[in-house]
Amino acid sequence: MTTDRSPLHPDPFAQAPFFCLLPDRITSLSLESSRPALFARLEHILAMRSNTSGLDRDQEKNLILEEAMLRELLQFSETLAEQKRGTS
Amino acid sequence: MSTELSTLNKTYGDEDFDRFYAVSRYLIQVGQLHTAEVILKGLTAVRPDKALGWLGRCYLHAFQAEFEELLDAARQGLKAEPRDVGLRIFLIIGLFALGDIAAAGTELGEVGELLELSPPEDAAVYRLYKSQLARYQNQR
Repeated sequence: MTTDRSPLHPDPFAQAPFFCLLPDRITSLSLESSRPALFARLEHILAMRSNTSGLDRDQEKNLILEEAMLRELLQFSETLAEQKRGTS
Repeated sequence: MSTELSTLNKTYGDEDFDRFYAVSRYLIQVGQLHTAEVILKGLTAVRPDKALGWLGRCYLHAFQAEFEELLDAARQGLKAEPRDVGLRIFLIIGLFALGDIAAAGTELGEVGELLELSPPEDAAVYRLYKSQLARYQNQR
């Protein structure tokens, strides 16, 4: 994986012997094209969570986990975009 | 509401999923383990049928010496992809750590067969398998 990885960081955690078990298949980390869908999904989840009466415990827990994931992905995407703007 | 939930798993296609996994892998690589964990927990919640999310969680559990959780994540992943060598090696690491040498030996046999059928692209995976095999032979 060589693209969209600036600025370069040291990879101390990649040195754990079992890091090799995590396949590296994607060449770009850009989430730019996914951002609208991520935002839409986040809005949808927030709407669902405002009325949880039809949800069981597991479903509610999964929505919380998904919401947290979406927020981190959007944050990552924003950071990546800022880095790109800074280097261009 | 239930109809919306039934389509939840279809929200993320394989391409999206792979890209989100790649982000979590990158975050692990640069040491942002907590953020990686949040993403991986979300991925396994929305797509428990994909082994990659479980692999990432296995890595974090192994790295943080959470071996019961490691075994659980590896077993969940193997439900999705029973022939995944990485998940089986993580399972072996967890079994050794918890002292179940016999079960680790059984899993090593399985991994050996899988590697014979399909050698890994990354030679480091094979070396890791051999190191676990040596560990088993020393402890038996």
